[in-house]
Amino acid sequence: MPLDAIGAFQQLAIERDPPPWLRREAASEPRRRKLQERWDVSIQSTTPLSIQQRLFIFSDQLEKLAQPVRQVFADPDPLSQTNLPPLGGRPRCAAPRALDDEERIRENLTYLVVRDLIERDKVSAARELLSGLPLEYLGDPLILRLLRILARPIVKKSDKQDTDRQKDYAWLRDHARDYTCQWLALDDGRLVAVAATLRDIRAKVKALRLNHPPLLHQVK
Amino acid sequence: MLTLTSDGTAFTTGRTRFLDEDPASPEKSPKVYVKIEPGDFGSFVFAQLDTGAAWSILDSQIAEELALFDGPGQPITVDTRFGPMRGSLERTNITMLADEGESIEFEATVFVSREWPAGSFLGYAGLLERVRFAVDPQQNFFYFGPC
Repeated sequence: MPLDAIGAFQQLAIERDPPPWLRREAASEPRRRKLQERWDVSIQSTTPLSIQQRLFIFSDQLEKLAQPVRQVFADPDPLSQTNLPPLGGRPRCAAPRALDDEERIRENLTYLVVRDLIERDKVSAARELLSGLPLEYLGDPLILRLLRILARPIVKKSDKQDTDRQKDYAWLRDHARDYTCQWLALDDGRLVAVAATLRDIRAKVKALRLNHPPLLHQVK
Repeated sequence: MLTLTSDGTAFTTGRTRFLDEDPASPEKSPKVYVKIEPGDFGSFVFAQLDTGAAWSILDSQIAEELALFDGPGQPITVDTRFGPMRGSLERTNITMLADEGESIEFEATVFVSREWPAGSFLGYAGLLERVRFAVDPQQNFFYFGPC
């Protein structure tokens, strides 16, 4: 039966015996409601989403599944829950039980949905979805990677300091167009180095042993 | 005045003079280019403020120098004005430099792609979402601080 990604996620939870984490969630009405609310909020606040339009067919048409989901079926190693390569030298295990499959499909679907949200600039929805996941999901390297890149920036005071670059800006206005496709290094209103690549100009600047960092600019 | 205040509390803590156009670019509409140091680069470069962009983007040569193309980030495809661009989201450090007052350093998420033909941009998610800022277009001053 074809299912959209969200429907598949929800149906997996109710079709068969619920997995342990869902059983625990279901035992607590407030927790169940909270989980449900998070999913609903994520979905309703970001419509229309492609995840509601994309069809996933689990059992008989694996070739139509996205690669990470196909990998769930192809990889018999229960410790490798993602499409990452298996660790070398570790003995491969027998095919996982049905319950393992459900868990792994769910985790990979979550990965697909979050990646889809990111690619559609729905960053808040992606964060919301991840924040509603049970702790068990945090064992998956793909989910951890998403959590890391979606983390809000960490900001702190820096001791680095620059000076007013009005002289450098004036030099750029007057002369930059004479150096098309070149990287320029400016210091105190003077051109101190020119190079075709950033790597080269960094090497030249390093050799100059300037008192403070120059301003680099590529003339496009 | 380096520190803008709101209800008596600090709103921004640093100030820099921004460049309002790329002198060699044929595109002459006003922009806000501020100075950043990517990682521990040892040199400063311009990045264009782009509050409408979901993600910050680093110049491809800068990303190469920082070894971000080999990073552990999330591969994605981003729709850009140059068309769909394959790359990845990576965490890296970026310092926004003050001429007066305090500079701030981010551990930020940026998009990097070998195909990216333009310069560096500071977008909202993963970077500007934790910055208070204000622009004085008469003096070309950019005020900023952490939030």
